[in-house]
Amino acid sequence: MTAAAIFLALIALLLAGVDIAFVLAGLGAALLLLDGSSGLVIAQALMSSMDNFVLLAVPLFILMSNVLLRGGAGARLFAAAQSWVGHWPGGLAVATVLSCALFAAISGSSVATAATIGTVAIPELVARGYRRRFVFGLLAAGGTLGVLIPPSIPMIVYGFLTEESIIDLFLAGIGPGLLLTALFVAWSVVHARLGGHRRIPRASREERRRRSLDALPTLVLAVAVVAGIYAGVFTPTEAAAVGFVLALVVVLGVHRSLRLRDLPAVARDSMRTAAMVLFIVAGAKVFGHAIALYQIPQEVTRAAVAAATAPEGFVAAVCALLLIMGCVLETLSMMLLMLPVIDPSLDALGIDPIWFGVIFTLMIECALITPPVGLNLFVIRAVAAQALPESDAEASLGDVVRGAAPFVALILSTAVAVAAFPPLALFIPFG
Amino acid sequence: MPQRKRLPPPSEAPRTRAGLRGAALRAAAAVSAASRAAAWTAAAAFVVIGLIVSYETVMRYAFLSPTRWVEELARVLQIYGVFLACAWLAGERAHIRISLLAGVLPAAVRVWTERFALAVVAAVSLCGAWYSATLMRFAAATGQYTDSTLALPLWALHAPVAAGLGLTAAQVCANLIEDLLEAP
Repeated sequence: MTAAAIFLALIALLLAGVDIAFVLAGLGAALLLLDGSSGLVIAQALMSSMDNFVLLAVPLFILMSNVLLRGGAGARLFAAAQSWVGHWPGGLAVATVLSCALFAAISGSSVATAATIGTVAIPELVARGYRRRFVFGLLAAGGTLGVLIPPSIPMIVYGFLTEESIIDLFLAGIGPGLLLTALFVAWSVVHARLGGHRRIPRASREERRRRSLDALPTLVLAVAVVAGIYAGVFTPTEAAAVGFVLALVVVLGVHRSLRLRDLPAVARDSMRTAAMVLFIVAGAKVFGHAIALYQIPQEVTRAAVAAATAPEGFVAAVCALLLIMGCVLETLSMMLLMLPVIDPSLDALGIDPIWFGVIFTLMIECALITPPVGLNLFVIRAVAAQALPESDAEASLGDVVRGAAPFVALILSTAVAVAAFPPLALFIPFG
Repeated sequence: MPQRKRLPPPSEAPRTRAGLRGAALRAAAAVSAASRAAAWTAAAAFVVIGLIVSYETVMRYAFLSPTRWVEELARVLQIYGVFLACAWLAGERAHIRISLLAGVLPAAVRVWTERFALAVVAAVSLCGAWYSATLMRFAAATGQYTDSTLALPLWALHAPVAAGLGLTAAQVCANLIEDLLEAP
């Protein structure tokens, strides 16, 4: 009864358009005060939620990503990938997927990936005769690779909330991330065989060398960050900080594509995204305290243990719920709302939290490209409107949604594959 | 015998209202300026975090000489960064929210729903600011320090939460005032 009332209040406030962080903090505060707890608990929870070294990885990866984004790293990666695979059937689409995967490996953000690669790839793909719907769907879905391929901001938040190793989560994301990239590449080739786009000529050896060298510093940076974490040289937070400084060196010193006077704007944009994300985490901390006091996670666990005949049933039910919630809730909010409630059930049902984290992240990827609130759908529509000004009217949300539909199916297939074959995520030995 | 208070002549009344309106709008503008200043401070805090954590990493791995201050200072700066940015984000309506329903509501209902959402944000911010200020005063009065190498005064960790949320409440009220005064 209490749980139902809380759920209803939560939905009513969210639908009224109250900022999600304030809904979580406000509802949590109200529940704590109603229960007779001291209001000082609220203040303590807000402050202590940010007093955390692990969470520092979030603003630092956002800073690194924004520096590279403004410095034109996306265009360089796309040009390099295009010089190697552009002449294949569907080569430009394949180059787009590979650029998205590579940029995802340095940005950790789906929106940054979709926007950065989309800006350079959409005009090229459309000019080469690829169907608009496919192009928009490809870019919207390509951006989602950023939440699975490490470093991933949702995985950092998942690790923070469940107190699991972020390094283990990053490593577990590699296999499914590569599988999903391969599936996107395969679909691009199949689509190219069916469609009527124009192939581009094979790049000369000199052009390949030049473009690869141009993208090399960004690639080295990506490898240094991920390999540094895996080799145990850096913690994810340290890797993000070093990545940020190296990104500055690359764009200010090597490419000279950014000037010192551009840095305040980079810092402001990064602050905006980081504070937005972290403030929801702070609100979720207060909400988490409150629902724990009301024993709601325990109730859910008891119900889950009683209802689920097997852990697989529980995971399937959570995935179905995430798919539905993903249609109305923003991805990170969905994670912050659900995890405090279902996390205790994982232990009770003997579910590996790292494996579950990968499946959870895949479902979040779906939410990014399912209407009506899939963030990447809006990003691509906006990018397309800018990149193709003469055909603005044709870049409708419906086109992006229909174009993304096959990719939703591919993401769901990957989630099923990881669920059916856990070593796909867990094959890398964890430290 | 007390004199009867003289009412202003009709011609002065609109000027008084205009004066009040002007003062309210000036106060709202001042709050917005404070929010922007706090947001730039927050942006600088995040950049400083990046620089000092990478300095620590280099010192630890390259020179085998780890620092004692970076980790704690970075955490403290994160608290300042997040809460000082909050007011500007609220003023810009940049916090993440669901706008699904707003798109289908009639314009008049949408305006009042938006005002309700702002009022909730102001109330929650005020509540958080109040309790954080109480905790800050308590920490200062009892001379509490962090249980760490730097032993920072604990009030300094609660201060950005109280200030940031207090400024957020003021910023949202400023938005509401501007909205109500500029409504046709």
